[in-house]
Amino acid sequence: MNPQFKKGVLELIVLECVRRRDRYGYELVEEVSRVIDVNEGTIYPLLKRLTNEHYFETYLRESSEGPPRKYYHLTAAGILYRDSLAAEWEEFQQQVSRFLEEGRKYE
Amino acid sequence: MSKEAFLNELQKHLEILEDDEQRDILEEYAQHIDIKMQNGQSEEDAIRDFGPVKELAAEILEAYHVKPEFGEEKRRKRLPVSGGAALEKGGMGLQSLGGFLKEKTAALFRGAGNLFRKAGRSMKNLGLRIKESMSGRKKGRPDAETGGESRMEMTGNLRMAEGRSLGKGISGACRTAARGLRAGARWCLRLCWNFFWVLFGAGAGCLGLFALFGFGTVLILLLQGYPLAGAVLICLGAFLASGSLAGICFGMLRGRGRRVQAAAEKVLEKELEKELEKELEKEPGMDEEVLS
Repeated sequence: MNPQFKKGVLELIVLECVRRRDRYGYELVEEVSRVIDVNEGTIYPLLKRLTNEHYFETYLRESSEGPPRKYYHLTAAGILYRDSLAAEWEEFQQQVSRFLEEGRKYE
Repeated sequence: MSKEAFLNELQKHLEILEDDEQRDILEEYAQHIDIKMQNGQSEEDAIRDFGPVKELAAEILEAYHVKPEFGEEKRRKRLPVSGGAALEKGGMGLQSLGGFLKEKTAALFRGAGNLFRKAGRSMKNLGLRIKESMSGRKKGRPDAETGGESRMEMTGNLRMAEGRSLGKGISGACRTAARGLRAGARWCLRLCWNFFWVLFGAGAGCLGLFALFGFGTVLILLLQGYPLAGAVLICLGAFLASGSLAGICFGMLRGRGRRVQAAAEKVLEKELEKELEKELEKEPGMDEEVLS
């Protein structure tokens, strides 16, 4: 898949993952990797940025195995941001699909 | 690459970030590697999945809106240099500002010195004038004395000389006292005048600085989107008004000093000339009297 495509939708996918359930870093990376094949390292900076922009809150929770884990939680601002991104994505992909549909006539 | 080496290298690229942030990020990566190793992956594989450290660091810095090249080691060395250059530039600016202030202060002190010198000169000149008037009186007195002289001719020259010296002493004391008194009064008056204007000017200056401070503050708030255009204009107006008021006050100080000096110098010259003439006229007469 084109890495530019991935980069564009990665934010939306991460937001959607956290909206469904609070997650810690590794869990989130696994979840995102199920949807798109992405370099694991690139998700942490994204998490950091979304936290800095107050779309995420973080808290620590003890784990049965190893040190406490940092969980990410979507804030109200994050929910609004996720909704606007999702709407944008819908419109964008519909426009692109429609345009590609039009192209069929030329075949 | 081991986990330690990976984290160390990553940290080197992230040195521009705050320590807390660096620790935060490194902990996440460390935990990620740990979990992967727990799941049965080798350390090497877990780290290889992150890709080149440089690219990873660039992406992390991008999340902080930092230019990625600041994470590179070569460029990082240039960072403090450019910071130093900026500091140097700022220092030069400050230096030139300091030079300007120094110059202004020197000019101010020079002005004050001139003022005091002028005041001193005018006082001296005043004293000369008093002396002149006194010597005029004295000139009258010898006439009267010569009148009395014809009556008291029998008593002898010795007594007359005594009286004369006594009169001279009294007139001298009176003259000195009057001169001192007049000079003191003038000095006090000038001091009061200058003090008033300096005080008023300083007050206006302080008000101006305060208005400038307010102007800066309100301007920043205005730029941040607060509706403070009116307040900005008011502050600017207050600054300009009090600044010019202070300027006028200090101008009053200097202008008066200059006028006084010019007048004083003119008077001084005249007085000196007159005195010289009188001394020249008087001296031969006195000699004759003493001789007779």
